[in-house]
Amino acid sequence: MRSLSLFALLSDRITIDMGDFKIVGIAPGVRVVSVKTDVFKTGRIVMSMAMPIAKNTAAQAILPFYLRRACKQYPDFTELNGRLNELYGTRLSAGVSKSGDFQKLSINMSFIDDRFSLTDESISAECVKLITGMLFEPLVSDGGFVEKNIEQEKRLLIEKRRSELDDKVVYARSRCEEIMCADEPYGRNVYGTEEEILALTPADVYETWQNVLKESIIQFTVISSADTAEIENILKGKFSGIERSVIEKSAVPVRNAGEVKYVNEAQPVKQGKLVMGFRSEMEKSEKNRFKNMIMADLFGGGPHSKLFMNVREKMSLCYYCRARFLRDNSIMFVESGIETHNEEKARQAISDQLNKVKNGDFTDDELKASKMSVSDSLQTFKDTPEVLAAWYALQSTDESPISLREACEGVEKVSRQDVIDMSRVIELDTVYMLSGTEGGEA
Amino acid sequence: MKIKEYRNEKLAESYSEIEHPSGLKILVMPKPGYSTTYALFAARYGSIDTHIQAPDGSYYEIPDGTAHFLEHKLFESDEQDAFERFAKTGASANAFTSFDRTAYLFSCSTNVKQNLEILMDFVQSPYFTQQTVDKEQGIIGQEIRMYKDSPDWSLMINLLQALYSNSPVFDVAGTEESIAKITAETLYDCYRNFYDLNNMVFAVAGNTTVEEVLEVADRMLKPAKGKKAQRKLPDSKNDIKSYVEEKMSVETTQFMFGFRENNGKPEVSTLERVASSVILDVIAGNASACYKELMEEELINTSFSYEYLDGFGYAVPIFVGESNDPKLVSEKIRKYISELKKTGIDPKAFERSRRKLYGRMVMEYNDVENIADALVVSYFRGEGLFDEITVCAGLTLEQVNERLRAMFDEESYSLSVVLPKG
Repeated sequence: MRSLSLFALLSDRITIDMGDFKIVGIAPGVRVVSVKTDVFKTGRIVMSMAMPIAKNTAAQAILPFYLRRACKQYPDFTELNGRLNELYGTRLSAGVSKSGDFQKLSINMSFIDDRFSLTDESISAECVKLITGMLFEPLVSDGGFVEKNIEQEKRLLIEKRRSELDDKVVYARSRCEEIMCADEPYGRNVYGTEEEILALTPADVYETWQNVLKESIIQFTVISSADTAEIENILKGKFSGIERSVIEKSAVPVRNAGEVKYVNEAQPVKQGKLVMGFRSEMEKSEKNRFKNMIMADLFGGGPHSKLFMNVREKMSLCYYCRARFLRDNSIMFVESGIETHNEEKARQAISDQLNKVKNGDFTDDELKASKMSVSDSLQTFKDTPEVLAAWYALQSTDESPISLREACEGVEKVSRQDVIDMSRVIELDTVYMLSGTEGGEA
Repeated sequence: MKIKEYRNEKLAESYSEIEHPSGLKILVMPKPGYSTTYALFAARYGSIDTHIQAPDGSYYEIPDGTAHFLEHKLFESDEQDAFERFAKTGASANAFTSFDRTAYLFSCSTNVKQNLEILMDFVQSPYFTQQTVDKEQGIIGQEIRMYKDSPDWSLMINLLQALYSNSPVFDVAGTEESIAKITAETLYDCYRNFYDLNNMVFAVAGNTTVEEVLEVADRMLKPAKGKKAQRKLPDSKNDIKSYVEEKMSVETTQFMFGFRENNGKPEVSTLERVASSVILDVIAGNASACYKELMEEELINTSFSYEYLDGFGYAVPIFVGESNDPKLVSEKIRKYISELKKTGIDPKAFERSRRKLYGRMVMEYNDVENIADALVVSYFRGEGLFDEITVCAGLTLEQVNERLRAMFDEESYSLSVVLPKG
């Protein structure tokens, strides 16, 4: 185990070479995590900015989209997109996600390596300039953000939010989160409510941008064949002019499952969607990520898992039935698409399978299959720049990120007793059922 | 055994094409520096293959959704099923069925030989019983319901059916009624007809070598008995519905707008396909004038995109997105296309879109999954893996303008819309 307190170190601009990756401190709470490799055709840069979910959710959510749309150098989005096309179809996207009590804003870029360009232009240098320009030189007028663009982005964000919820799998999961985490930040929609988005003004978003520059936990994840000195120098220069006062990483309080909450809603759809939310213990969740990873996989991961083998294969109740463990929230969700009238049967089957794990009713082969499957998948992550970057970006608020190799070592150590111990602190908290009223005649 | 190597110097990539004595074509692209091996064993058999040719040359019909049903059932065995076997190696195994192919696959970072062995073995060892077929009805029934609740799926199926005389072939999984007709015997019939090694291909990309793949292939492949299955050309009736809609439990109105190409041949050429993608980007890419206008008039949002969809018997340029007024969007696009055909494409816009497509093609070579699938698709099309990128690198404005004039039959179009219920 490492005992580095990285956030403290970062202000000293220290470089740490971790073998598989390198960390460079830029300013308090700002770091560059990079992997230098020339096996890929492309470079990848992910800019992640973490803020608390609690207040200002909508203003924070819209920010990366406003920044991606245009910048000082390219004030018009058609011009900017045209430039990206000239740079051999450079991909540029904005996103928002939540994890623990953080809302993570991101701007992501993929560009072809200079070796593959048909011209002499350096694509990577140009892309580094572009993405840093997005954060530090946004489009402003009269000292604020441009009203017309903010209005457009408000419409686009509201439509994006609606469209995502039109997918009933996403909708059911989101409803279960809302109900289960009603009293905590994680229960909020990642984009805020439609009303909050509608009420945003250019001044709100501008102020949020300034706060993000001052307070957010920022990580630039860079996967590239090029040296990262250039991006580091640009960032050091830019952040030297900003007085940083980084948000505290608040410990997510322990929220034990109480009486099971149950909500059933009906919609005119053909398939019912069942989502069950379970809670673990926060401390156990933080310290035992690999144990929980294996427990959740053995219970409801791939085709070797309890849920697949029994609820799908033996009982033919569904096409999918899977479990996901959220380490930062100490929550496990089980999701399945079922015939509405099979709700009771499916709930019972899922609980039965979880009890089997709790009682140690699984073979050594099942455990071995889970460990091999998780470890094999982890090793494949390093072969795609997007996935490799995501691995490190997901750890942007962790004090010290770990490599895929360390994760595989962690998985290797998980024992049968570990799986049993982790499953025994899992308790059902919330059941959400989206009932389909068109179930009879598909 | 003939082994041929193909290289692309600019990409710094190469792959080998092996004519295995068993009758199977094997394609291998080693990727130095990668840990992952990704393998696909694919049959030239998809949902568009609705008929089997009898010995007398006539065709008889099989139920819709059979290719997909067979894909589910091939994992089963009278001993250990394929998933159980892969569970012992740590590989992630899966399979998929599309309009024109069925593929079985694994991805792994260890035990490559063992995984190759399992994949080759189970795909060559059908085991179907009435009991296991019956059991699968419930699982696939739920899969079909999941698709039927998905607006994206409905938009696409409805559009293709509207363009192709209400043909059921695009509904890959079939319907609960059609799959109810499937028996163990149906599956054996289809297996014999379509899973002959002469009608299949095996593609591997990533952490592997030709020697490693051949060592397993020599042991595992049983000589093919039959021949390449004859594909029945779909109905060529030009019976098009210009508008179709479906009401679903959604909040957003979505549309898919496409043109049916009537070029009198079952498949388009590499040049036609590449030129089509460039043209679609010139028309509707996010740097185009049309995109800007539609965006500023609040007729589309960032979900707006385009796609060139082609396969055996179908070729459709598609525009897709969300809008409060899909009819107006489709009218504007048609008007824009008709203007563009008159004026020709602006050289700068052409170059931007060509470079974008070229870069996106380069990016595909990062991912062993994309590579293996592209090896399969290009082989079934009778093309080489590098053909598209070579054509793109040398594409001219003249070629693109010529393609533009032939690509859109302005009368052969349809608009598919999914609307909120109530």
